[in-house]
Amino acid sequence: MRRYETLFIIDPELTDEGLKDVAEKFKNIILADKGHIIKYDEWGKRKLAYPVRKREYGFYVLLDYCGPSDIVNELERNMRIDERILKYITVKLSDSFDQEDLEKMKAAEAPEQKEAPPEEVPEKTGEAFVEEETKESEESSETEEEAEVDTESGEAPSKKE
Amino acid sequence: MVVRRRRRRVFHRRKICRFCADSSLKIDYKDPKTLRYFVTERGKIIPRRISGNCARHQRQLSLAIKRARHIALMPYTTTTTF
Ligand SMILES: [Zn+2]
Repeated sequence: MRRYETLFIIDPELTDEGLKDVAEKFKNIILADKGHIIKYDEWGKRKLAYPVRKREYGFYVLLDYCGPSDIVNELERNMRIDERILKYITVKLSDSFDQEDLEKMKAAEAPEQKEAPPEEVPEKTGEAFVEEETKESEESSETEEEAEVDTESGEAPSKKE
Repeated sequence: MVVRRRRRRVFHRRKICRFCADSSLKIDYKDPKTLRYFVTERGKIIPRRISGNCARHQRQLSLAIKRARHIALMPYTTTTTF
């Protein structure tokens, strides 16, 4: 796997609901392509350095994820045809990013894990190992999404600036 | 008598690469605040003969500035009407 980040600009005239839809859509594209979301970081509304499609402002989102290399094509193809996305840029952060790195990162983010003993898995077959890991990380990314949705609605008033 | 030869004085301020001098200073296209020091008021990239950056960091810097321009964090040019 490789690790990438895509910084993209959403039409700032979307409602909170609309922003949520965009988030769902692109998160799902990554998950469907056997990728994992490391972070979906909403920077919020910012003034653009130059107008884009007659917009003076844009809603910036930094999406940090990992997956197979064709995941970028798929994500960018979808952004290109989506009217709500003004611009995007993808940068590769790391050439080799594996399940282990991902787990390490997740563990570092959520230190208060209920006694989850580090499994001694090397004996298991590769297949079973991957399956299990994928399930786990999918679950945790779902809870992440929920948490983000909460903060989104909480921060909503700040957008009135 | 000694003939004094007047040479035109060349500015010879010791230039140092700010990124080599300060390793905590990172080059990141997502950080226009830092990048802004290395462009002119009009948004042009300052050449390294002026800024004193080393070749390696200038290369990374210009890439970062170009990325920042692409994603509208920095301007390509500032249109000033005189
Ligand atoms: Zn340097």
